[in-house]
Amino acid sequence: MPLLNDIASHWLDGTVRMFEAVSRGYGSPATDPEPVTRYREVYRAGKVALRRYTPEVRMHRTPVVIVYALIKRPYILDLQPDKSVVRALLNQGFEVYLIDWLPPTKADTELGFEEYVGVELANAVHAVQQSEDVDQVHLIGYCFGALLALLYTATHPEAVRNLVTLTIPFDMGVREIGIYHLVDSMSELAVDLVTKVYGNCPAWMVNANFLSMAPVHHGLDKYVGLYRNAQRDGYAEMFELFERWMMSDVPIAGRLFRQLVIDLFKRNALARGEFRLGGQKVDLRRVSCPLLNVVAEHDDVVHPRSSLGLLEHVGSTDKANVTFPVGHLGAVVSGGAMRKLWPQIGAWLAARDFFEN
Amino acid sequence: MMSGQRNHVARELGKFLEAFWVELPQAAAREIFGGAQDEISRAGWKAYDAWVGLSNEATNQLYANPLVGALTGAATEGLLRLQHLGNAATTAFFANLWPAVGLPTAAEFAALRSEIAELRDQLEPSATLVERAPAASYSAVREEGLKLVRNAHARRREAGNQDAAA
Repeated sequence: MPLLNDIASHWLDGTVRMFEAVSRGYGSPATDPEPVTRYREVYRAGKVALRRYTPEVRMHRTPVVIVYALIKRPYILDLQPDKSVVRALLNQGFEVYLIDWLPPTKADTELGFEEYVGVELANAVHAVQQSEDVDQVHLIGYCFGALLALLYTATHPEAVRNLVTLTIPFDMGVREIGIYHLVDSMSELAVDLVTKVYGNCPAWMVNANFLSMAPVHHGLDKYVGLYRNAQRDGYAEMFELFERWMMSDVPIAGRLFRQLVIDLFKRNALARGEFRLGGQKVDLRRVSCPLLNVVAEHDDVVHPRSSLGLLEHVGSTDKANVTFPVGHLGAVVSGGAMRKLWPQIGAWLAARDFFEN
Repeated sequence: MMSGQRNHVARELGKFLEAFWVELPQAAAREIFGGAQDEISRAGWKAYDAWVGLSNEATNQLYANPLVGALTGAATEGLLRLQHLGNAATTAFFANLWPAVGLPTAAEFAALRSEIAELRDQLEPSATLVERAPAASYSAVREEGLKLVRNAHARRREAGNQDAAA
């Protein structure tokens, strides 16, 4: 019976964790764990806090700016010393900047893609350009952050040296993931009502959406997994951190939520070339810098087919898809990604930098 | 699309039936007749994994069902409409009545809570910065504070002496 006892105990711990997250309103900078890698906050304005990580030996002139998603807190990119995208890049001699999106409050209901891309991200990149005395940066966007990075590159092509999109939700017409059908069944009126009732899309709604993607996994299988792997070195610590991150959802600004669900998801406006920023059609042909599009082969959040089509729409001549055999999160936390994928991304960036020291 | 989903479910169902009804009993029989010690355990976990795979695919197919989609969409919209109506009615009613009693409204509480949360968020990052104020400055301030207190005592004593003399 230790099997049932242990699994029941893990399940109870998980349930307590969930209630605690609900009571504190899910994620916020105040609930982040201690950072694994030392950083300095070099810029904070609007909805952006910009973190700067400095390598022991800098080998590349152009700094890397990581555009994190607007969903959950960014510490997944620096979770443990040996599972850290930030460290993987630092170890290759890059100066790394990480965009930490500050959660929107009720006053931010009217923020949309125009503000997040044209003001917040543009200001953050400008801060990096000034701080580093460079004209261009390498942009790496993860998930929703990749979408923001792509839109930024299309509207500010002169500022981006190289673009790496990681698990980008680009072609939203792909309906291979079950929960997408439910989101699709949500009427435009319902989307408007969410913002009328709550102002922003609340964190609990975002969290519920993620949990619904794999209810058996979140309700039972992950605890069984913890029981089965309890003897593996570091597994329990990793599980704890990971679960904490899973409950670190933040609200999505009201107008951004409407644009995301109605324009990008239901109308698939970006892949159809109809997405507008501030009244102007976004022309992806203006993305002319080298582009590396990284696709997670077993992604169950953004289907690989959603990402793979991107290359056909951009103007870059130096472009490639890289498919890596991991899931959505495995691309940023798995040992395999740390050993193979991130060195490959670093080498790709280095080969396209201005000069090597 | 739907037929693709059904194929996935059929594949996972096949895996589960094979693991549960064929491999598990075979492993049990082998262990009884002197096979490897952990054969049942391994076959059991394999059957469990097949069940999880089947459940995930079945959930995906359920989500992809147009009827489930229509029901979920209608239910979400209905609940949000009710909540919108409730919020509007509550605001209209309590906006005038509640303050008359002199008690804060729920909206004021919510605003206060979000203000506190924002303040906490603004303060917290400074604590995570690696460049913290050195400890020496704290002792300097403390020392300065002690001096001020001592001076205050001295001034009070002086004032008392003057009063006594007068």
